[in-house]
Amino acid sequence: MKNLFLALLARQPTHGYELMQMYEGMFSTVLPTLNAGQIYTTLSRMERDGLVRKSTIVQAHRPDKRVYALTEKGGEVLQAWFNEVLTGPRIKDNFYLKLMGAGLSGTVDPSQLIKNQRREYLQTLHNLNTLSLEPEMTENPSKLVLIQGAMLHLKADLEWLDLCEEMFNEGAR
Amino acid sequence: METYLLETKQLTKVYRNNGSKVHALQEVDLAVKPGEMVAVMGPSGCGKSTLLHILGGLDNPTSGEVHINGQRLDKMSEAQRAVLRRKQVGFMFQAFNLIGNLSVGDNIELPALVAGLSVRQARKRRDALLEDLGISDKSRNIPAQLSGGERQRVALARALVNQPTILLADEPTGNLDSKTAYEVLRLLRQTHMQGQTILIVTNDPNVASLAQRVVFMRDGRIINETILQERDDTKTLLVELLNLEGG
Ligand SMILES: Nc1ncnc2c1ncn2[C@@H]1O[C@H](COP(=O)(O)OP(=O)(O)OP(=O)(O)O)[C@@H](O)[C@H]1O
Ligand SMILES: [Mg+2]
Repeated sequence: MKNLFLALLARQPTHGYELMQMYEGMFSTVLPTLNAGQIYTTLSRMERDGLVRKSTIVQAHRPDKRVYALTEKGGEVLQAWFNEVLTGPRIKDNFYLKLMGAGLSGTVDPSQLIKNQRREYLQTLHNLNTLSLEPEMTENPSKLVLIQGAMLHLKADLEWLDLCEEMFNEGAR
Repeated sequence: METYLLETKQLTKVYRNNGSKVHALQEVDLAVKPGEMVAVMGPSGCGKSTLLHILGGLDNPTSGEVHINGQRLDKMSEAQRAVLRRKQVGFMFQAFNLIGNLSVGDNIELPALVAGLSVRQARKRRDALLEDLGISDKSRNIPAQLSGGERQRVALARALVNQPTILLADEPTGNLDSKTAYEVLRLLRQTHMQGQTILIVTNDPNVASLAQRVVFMRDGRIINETILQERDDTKTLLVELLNLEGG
């Protein structure tokens, strides 16, 4: 959240309330919702760390506006975030060890585990698929692309389960 | 039994090639209810196309029964099957099967004319489908002048032109890139939402997961199936699933 705020402020100094609205508008369906309290806590922590500074914009016909602006240090932290390449593949597999354990234990049929897991993945894929085909997605490409990414991962997971199943079937022959 | 639109009992197909036998389908029991979208999923060579060709009356089973809309397909003469194919079944082939020297419009219109619609009616349905599937501007082109995704849309329009009892689709997004595949899935879902009964065979999890029920096939047999639930609170789905770090 901190980095997203820095990115939003890099564009232009912004009022806390507007920041919250921009955040809601872009990420409300993707990230946990934030209340005003959480936003102001984050902003004051960022201010304390010297990443943002409060300043006042004098407005001719309206009351002055209190906005948050990016400091030089804030800009550097943001740039460092962008420069940092994500390492390692995006896999986290808790199923592999369970499957091996099933094979070792002899108390459960690994193919039953594969079947259950396939069901679960397919259900999730169905949920994502349905969501991705909702009419609103045509106007929301940044959300669509996120869903499609998740779907590609699930598709890979399902294909991998097929390989696991084949391995156990061949072992059984 | 008649609550099913399509039902097979102990459906078996054995291919004989100079002495060797291939058991392409073994005692397959499958049933599809009106309005249902079912996917049969399995690896290459497991018998998916064989199953669909038999259900569409394009091939004969070795043994077993096929009931479509209360009729015994496996007991029909070739002529009766031809009528059923025209009136009840819409078929999307794994390899489009469009007629190369006919325009897109004519490809869609032809099955309607063959089924006995008047030229006016056939044209009306053709134009409505072209419009629906967003290919009106391609009506005069021949299939070779289209992209894969466009050809697949023509194949869908052609399959739907006779308002079939059931739509059979064989690998409807085969060879398409993700973006074009997405468009085809959108159209299939839209067709299903309009009440069309659909049976899809595929090896692609994305396609299969569109269905309400997925039937798994291996080596010519159905090994199990899973029913996919609709979830109404899709709002929180992404937050739960992705666990994104806001940085
Ligand atoms: N006309 C035929 N003569 C002999 N064998 C055939 C014939 N058609 C299919 N087969 C065999 O029957 C089996 C099932 O073939 P089928 O085309 O139904 O598989 P599939 O599941 O559709 O595969 P794919 O995903 O690759 O399209 C395969 O072993 C295939 O070689
Ligand atoms: Mg096939």
